[in-house]
Amino acid sequence: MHSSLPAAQQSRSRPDATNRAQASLPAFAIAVLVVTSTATLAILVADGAFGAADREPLERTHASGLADAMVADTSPMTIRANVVNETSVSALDTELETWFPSASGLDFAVTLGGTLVAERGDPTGGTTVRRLVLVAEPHTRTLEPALTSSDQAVTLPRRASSVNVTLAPPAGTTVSTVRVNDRVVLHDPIGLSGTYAVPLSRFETTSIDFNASGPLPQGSVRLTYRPVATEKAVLEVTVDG
Amino acid sequence: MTGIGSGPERPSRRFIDARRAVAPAISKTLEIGLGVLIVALLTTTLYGSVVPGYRTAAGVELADQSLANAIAATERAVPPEAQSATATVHVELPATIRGATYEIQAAGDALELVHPHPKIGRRVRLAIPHRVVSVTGTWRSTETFQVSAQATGSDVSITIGGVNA
Repeated sequence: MHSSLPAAQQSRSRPDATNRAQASLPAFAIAVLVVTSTATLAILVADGAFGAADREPLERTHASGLADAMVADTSPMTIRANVVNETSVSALDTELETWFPSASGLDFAVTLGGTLVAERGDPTGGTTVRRLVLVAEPHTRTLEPALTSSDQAVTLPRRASSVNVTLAPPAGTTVSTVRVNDRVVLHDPIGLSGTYAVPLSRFETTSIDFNASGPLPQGSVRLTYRPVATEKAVLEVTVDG
Repeated sequence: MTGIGSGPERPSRRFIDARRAVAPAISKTLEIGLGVLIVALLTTTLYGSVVPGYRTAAGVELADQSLANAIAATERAVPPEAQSATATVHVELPATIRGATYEIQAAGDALELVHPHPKIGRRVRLAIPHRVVSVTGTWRSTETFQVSAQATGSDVSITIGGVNA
């Protein structure tokens, strides 16, 4: 007992002595690891939050500003507010910088009803603003009625804002009065002849009444009018700032 | 136990104590040094580059948002065609960006955000009709953003400025 005790004590305390000096080192290493990884994780989370908060407000402002300017009442593309003229739309690609100077220098695209009408740069992704519009396409229509009796009315099948009335009555027949919806628009007791532009109301169906001394065969009255065909479409403005 | 062990234990413990007298001191100093170094490194990284970077990033976003709101208000202020019309629009915009006040200046047909930080600030063209002949004025962020549009005949002139809230 007496001889084995110091030996046992020594064998027990020597590893103790070498270990105890570094006893807190693993704990310290773990602490450093925990602090570093927590900081790294926090930075990653903050990075993610910043990435998710990227909203491109200027891109949206550009897109909505351009879209609003295009469908506005005073826009060179529209007939009235939210009704775009199809012929002006086809000219948009060439006239873009003149009509909308704020668009220059941006990567953007304009589509109407899914068809690309103007593009600058190479917009990939970006912000898209949509506006529901009417696309107006004016057609020229000609009507040559044959008026068998001396007082007969012709109804225009489509509404238009004006009509050109060309009168070439046969010899011996005079047209003295032309009425639109019972209002006298043209009158000459000697006889009307030639082409007259008659403004019409877009808001009512037009009936044109001819007061002639005799029947007017086909060809003696020609009515040329421009009805506007409209269809709904979506105007898309994509801006990639 | 103590009676038996006290006699022979004492020399051996004194011997051990003497041998490891320096080791803990070095180890503790090393630990403290490393700890201070880690904290210093972490603090320097965070406050030296990460936090200012985030402040700038947040500032750029906020500046964009602020300028976008100012532009939307300016475009909205343009009155329809009339003989004589006046329109005034007020918008609340952030008073400071990245801890500093800033300005929005009208420059030609654009608005420019001016901030003391070099990375914050931008010039953006306005989507306004050709009737607008002039956009003038400067707004300081301590005030409420105000846009006044004055239409005379076909000409519209826009002035940006502040009203004390």
